[in-house]
Parts: sequence; C-alpha cells; structure tokens
Amino acid sequence: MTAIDLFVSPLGRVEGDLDVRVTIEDGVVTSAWTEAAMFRGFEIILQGKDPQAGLIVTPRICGICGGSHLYKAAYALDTAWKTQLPSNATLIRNIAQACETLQSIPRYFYALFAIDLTNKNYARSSMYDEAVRRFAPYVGTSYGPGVVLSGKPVEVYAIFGGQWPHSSFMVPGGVMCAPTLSDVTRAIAILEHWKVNWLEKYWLGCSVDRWLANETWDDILAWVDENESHYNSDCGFFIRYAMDIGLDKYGAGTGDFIATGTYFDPTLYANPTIDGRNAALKSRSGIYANGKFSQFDQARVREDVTHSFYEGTQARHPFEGETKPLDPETARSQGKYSFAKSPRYDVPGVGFIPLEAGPLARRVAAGAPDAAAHQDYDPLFLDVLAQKGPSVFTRQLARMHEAPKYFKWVREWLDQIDLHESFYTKPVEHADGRGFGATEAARGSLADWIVIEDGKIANYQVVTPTAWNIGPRDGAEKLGPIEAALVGSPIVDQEDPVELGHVARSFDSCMVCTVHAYDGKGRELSKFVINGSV
Amino acid sequence: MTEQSTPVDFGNEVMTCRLLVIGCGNLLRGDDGVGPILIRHLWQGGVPDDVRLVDGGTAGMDVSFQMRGAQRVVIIDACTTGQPPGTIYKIPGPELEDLPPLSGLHTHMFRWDNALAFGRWLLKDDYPQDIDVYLIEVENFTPGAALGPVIERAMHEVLALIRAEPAFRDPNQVDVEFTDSGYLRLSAADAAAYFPSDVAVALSRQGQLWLLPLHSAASGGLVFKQRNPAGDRCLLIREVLNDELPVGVRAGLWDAAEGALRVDLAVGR
Repeated sequence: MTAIDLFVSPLGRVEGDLDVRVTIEDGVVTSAWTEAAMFRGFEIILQGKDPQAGLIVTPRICGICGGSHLYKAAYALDTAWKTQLPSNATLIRNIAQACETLQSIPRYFYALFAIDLTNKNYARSSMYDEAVRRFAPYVGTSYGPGVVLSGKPVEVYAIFGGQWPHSSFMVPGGVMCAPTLSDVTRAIAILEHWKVNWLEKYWLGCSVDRWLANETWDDILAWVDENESHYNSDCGFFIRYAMDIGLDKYGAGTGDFIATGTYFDPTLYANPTIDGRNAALKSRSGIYANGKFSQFDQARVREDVTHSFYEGTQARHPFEGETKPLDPETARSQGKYSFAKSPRYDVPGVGFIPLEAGPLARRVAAGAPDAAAHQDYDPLFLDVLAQKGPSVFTRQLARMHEAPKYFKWVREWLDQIDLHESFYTKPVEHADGRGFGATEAARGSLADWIVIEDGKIANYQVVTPTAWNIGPRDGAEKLGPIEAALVGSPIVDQEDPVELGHVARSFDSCMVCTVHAYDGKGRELSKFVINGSV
Repeated sequence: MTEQSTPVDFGNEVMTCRLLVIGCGNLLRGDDGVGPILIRHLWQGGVPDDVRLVDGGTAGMDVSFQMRGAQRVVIIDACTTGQPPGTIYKIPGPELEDLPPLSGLHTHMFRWDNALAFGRWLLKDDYPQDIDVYLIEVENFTPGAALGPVIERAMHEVLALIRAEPAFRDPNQVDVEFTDSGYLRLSAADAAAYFPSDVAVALSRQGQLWLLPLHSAASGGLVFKQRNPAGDRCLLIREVLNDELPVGVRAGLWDAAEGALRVDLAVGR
C-alpha cells in the first residue's frame, strides 16, 4: 500500500487562495486538509465604527452574494435596535435575497460545476458526447442559455435595490426604495422570461408545478422516465449522467447539517427579535445531526481556532469572538494551517460538531415535521438522503430544486406588495445592544453577530457558509465538512484529480473576495503609461 | 473564440447609454478600492443622463452583463505591475481581453479582463465597440486602509480624464483658445453654428468675456477671420481684454437666453 500526498488548488485559478492537501492510498483519499491562505480582516475593520458600517462593509466581503450579506447585516441591526419592519420591507428583502440565489443557481451550475462533467476522465461513459454537446463552456447548447439568462433575476434585484452587486438599500427599519406599479410589472415580466426560457425550457422540460410535485426519490426516477421532455431536459440528463459516472457515490461529508433559514412572514417578523426568529421563517432553520432534528439556536454556535492562524485554541461564541491573526509561518509550528476559523455547533446530547451548510442542509431542514402554515414543508430531500445518502450529486440536485421553488415564492411576494403602504419605519438608534441577523446565501447559512456599545461597534463577527464548510479541524481533531467530504473520493488520475474539484465545487465555496488588482503577468504594458512623471 | 450556436433572447430592450464607467476592486483592501472610490466621486459630482456608473466591486462576471447597450466603456482598476505607485495606464480594451481558463473557472475569481472576453461572447452584436481601461499602480492592501496620497492623486488625474470624456461635456460647451499673440480661436463648426455672419460684439463683464453674434458687418463689430483651410476662425481680442489674455484653451458656454457665448476669464480652470 502506498500513500501519496497531493497538493492541489481545486477551486481557483489563483494559487494560494484555497489549497487542499490530500493523502491518497490505493487511489482513494484517506485524509484531507483545507487551507484558506488569505486573511479576511473585516471584523477588525468594523471595530469602533458606526453601527451601520456593517451594511457597507459586509456586502463587500463577496462579489457573488453581496445581497445576502446586506440582508443579514440589516437584520442584525433590526434585532439590536428593536426596529419595526413594514410588511413591504420584509417582502422586498425576501424578493431581493431570493433573486440573488436564483441568479446563482444556473450560473453556478453551467459556468462552474458542469464544466467538470466534460472532463476527459468521463469519456468512457456512453453519455459523454452528449454531456460535451450540452455543457462545453461557451459552445455547449445549454451553456449559452443558462449563463446568459442567469443575469435576469438580479435585474429584479436592481429594480428594487438600485444596483446589484454591492447595494446598500436594506437598512434597519426597512428598505430604501419606492417602487411603482410599473417596477413590479417589469419585475414579473423579467422573472417569467427567465422561467419560460431557461428554467422550464432547458432545465426541467416541464412546468415548475410538475417538478415540485415530486416528493420522493422514486418520484424523481419516475419523473425522468415519464416522457421524452423530462428525460432529455438538462435536469433529466444530469440525473442519468451523474449516476452513470458515479457522482452519487462519493463526497458524502459529515451527513450532519445546519440551516439558519431565511425569508420571513411579513406579519410575524414586524418586530424582529433573536428569539422570535425561528417561528417567523418561511425557509426554516434547523439542525440535523445523527439522524435527528433539533431547533437552531444561535447561542450554541462557537468558532474554534485550534488549527486556524489566530491566537489561542479557544472556541468562542461570536458575541465574544476575537480575530487576532498570527503570522502563518510561525503559526504552522503550532499545528495551525488555515485562515478560516472552524465554526462548530453544540448539538443537544451530542456536543460540538462540524455541520454542513448549503442547499442540501436547507432542503433537509424543510423536511422536519411540525411546520407552521406559513412555513415550507418539503419532504423530498429527506427521502433522497435516506435512499441515496449525501453525495456530490445529492448536494447538486438540492440546489437545482430551489430554482422552481424560489421562483414561485418570489412571484407570490411580488403580488403581496402594497404600493400605498410604507417601506421604512425610522428606528431609534439605541446606543447599546446586541443583534443577530442571518440568512441563507445560495451556498448556505450566513450570519452576523453585532455588539453595540456607546453608539459604536464593540464587536462584529460574520460566520459565512464557506467557514462552516471549509473550516479546518477543530480542537477535537474533527475534520471540517469539506475535509470530511474529500475523504473516500476515488482518484482516477492523479495528474488531473477532477474528483477533488467535484467535491469542493459541490459546496460552491466562496473564496474570500480578496485583492483583485491586475498584475499584468506576461504582458508588455509600459507603452500604455500616460503619466510618465511618476 | 467560438461563437455559441444560437443567440439567446435576453427578453427585454437594451438599455443604451453613451458612456459606461465601471470601477473594479475591493473596497475593503486599501488601494485595491481605487476603482469603486472613483465611481463614488463621479456619482457625488453628478453625471449627465446618458452616462451610467457601475460600482463593479469584486463581482467580475456581472461586468459583462452591465456592458450591454453601452456605446463606450471605461473601466478603472488597480494594478500591481511593478511600476512606481501612482503610475497610470490607459489601455485599449481589446489589448487585455483574456478568456478565463476553462479548467479553473470560478465565478469568484472572475476579473474584468475575463469579463471583456466573456462579454464579447455574451453580448454578440451588443458588445460595445469602444473600450478603454485605466489601471492605477497601487501598493497598500491593508484591510480597512484609506487610499495612499500618491494613489489618491492618480485617482484624481483619472477622474479629470473621465470628466473630459465627450459624454460629460455640456451640449452647450464651446471650447475657445486664447493665443499669446492676442487672438481668440474658434473651430469651424462652432463658428458656423453660433457666428454664421462672422461678426460679433465682444464685452468684458464680471470676469467673463461675452461674444454676441451680429447679423451682418453693416452694424459694425469685430470680424472673425478664417485662419486655415479647415475653416477655423480667429478674432483679435487683445484690446477688449486690455492685453490680459488667459492664454490656452477655455471651456465657454453658449447662453441661449442671452444669445451670447460666455467664457470665464479667471485664472485656472
């Protein structure tokens, strides 16, 4: 038996943003270390600033899910300042958050994930040529429509938010916009176009409602074979191809999940509080560990830094969180290997464990019993999990399932806006307080904890879905979710370990949107200098 | 690059604009935020209706979508090429188009150089014909830091260049040039538009030079002379201004209500 250590950067073309080290024995990954090499630092930037600085700073953390950052930053302040939210504000926030996710679904699938499906390692599959015909970047018959139309849902965001990305239109007490009837009509037309021309035409091959009628894995298998339109849709093809090339066989991960939930019932969250949050959610929060459900409680979250480039080995609650970075070179000698912290959750009766965040976690939470009338109850993925187990494939299918679901929700919310009512209630800016705001970004649970003292930010901590998933080992040496998901992956070709990319990409992790400066590598630019005197 | 087989229907009208200015970079990382900060300066100063501003931040791929329908695009970003900080590049877009490598494509790693190439694929006939990229050499990426003074100065240079774009010009703006030999020069087109009879009355009032066209030389006044084959005009103005000439090019404004071309004479622009 031979053990080989392999270093890869499976997620980015820029080496050093996220590196993965795996040990491979007899062609199978037996251990993995995920190393986030970039320091984020925004918690430090926010200290001592105006309480509302989080609305400006946190959307800059990510250029892909800036709207999600804004959404939870606004709710963190709403709970800290005990604001009153008009129904319209809740509806518009829901619409904006969902539209950002709707954009991300096809864009991520075609521009990021499906490219791996055309990897030469799968040429042995009888369906390979068809995969290339559909998904080859730029030229695939589905790649074009999927990527081009992915821009539509954020056009709706921009109608209400002024711009996307990096808007700051959600503020404590509501939203800064005054839509007209024609804005709402335009938003509906844009979404319908997206649904008709991509979601139903290319992805589903059937109506949104027909897909959503699937309640079990057997329903899905029957759906695929129901007619040629289903069978040959991108969804039908993906299901058949993924099982043919074995994407349902690896990438399981921890099998334990966290959803902080998102979208609020306008009447139930008019006075946002931390304690009242779970009951007001439409897309429910929840913990699923060792096969059991429990309520999500923010007080049970800790961030462990035993193996992270920060001082100490404590696991602190975000309200007491610290961000004291160390020089990676010296920190490595203490067994630390990543700038990501390791979020852990204290599951009742189990203790602190790593949990997977993301679409699959949300879909599992949606299967919990005892949903209130206004809440999403959807048993499909609890059944898929029972029949198929977690895998690269399951995770992917969960994400795509949200496209028809969220589309319908956004359409309902658009119909509920009352243009004659207000969108904002001016809040009292209390000098002291604590707030917690959370959402579900496309890629998973995202939350802010804010401590305000003397009218300034005393502490601000952001826990991202990527931190939940990509974080390193903890004090108990338990692997993070992606590390755990990599273990067991078969590696066919060590020169091109596409399987590692599949696993890592199935989580759609956000790299830290870091310095984007152009380095001009390999180009002669000096003739373009226009201020020679410098 | 290979064309996609069938064009995709975007589903709505193109929102056209004459000039689209996109600032890229991470506002949280010191000098890297120079692009978005420049956009904020432009926004605060106000822009004409047919100029669109985009704070591209770090959302690379969306830069491609935003370019739809723009006649001209100007992109501003930080760079680290090894030149002294504050160095400014102005580079034609096509020079830098760079399709992201397919193997490691990641939407979080997508930069404007990728966005340009991607935009050509995405937008087809709607891809803007005229694209320039300003790059400012930067040095400090400390989280939360303000722009360094050298970078700030370079940013203002680029701001001035963008404000000098034709799309920013007031439609009533008329450039005139004062020569050290005592003449005022006017382009052939402006002379034909505002002074068709080549005769004007000149007044110096409240720090401004006013030029009012007359119907014909019969009423007196100063006469414009043709100074080159292109038809550009000049006018001896020295005496009106008592030999105090603001030598150089000045932006005048056509005041339709007064029927006069008004030029500020104060020192400095």
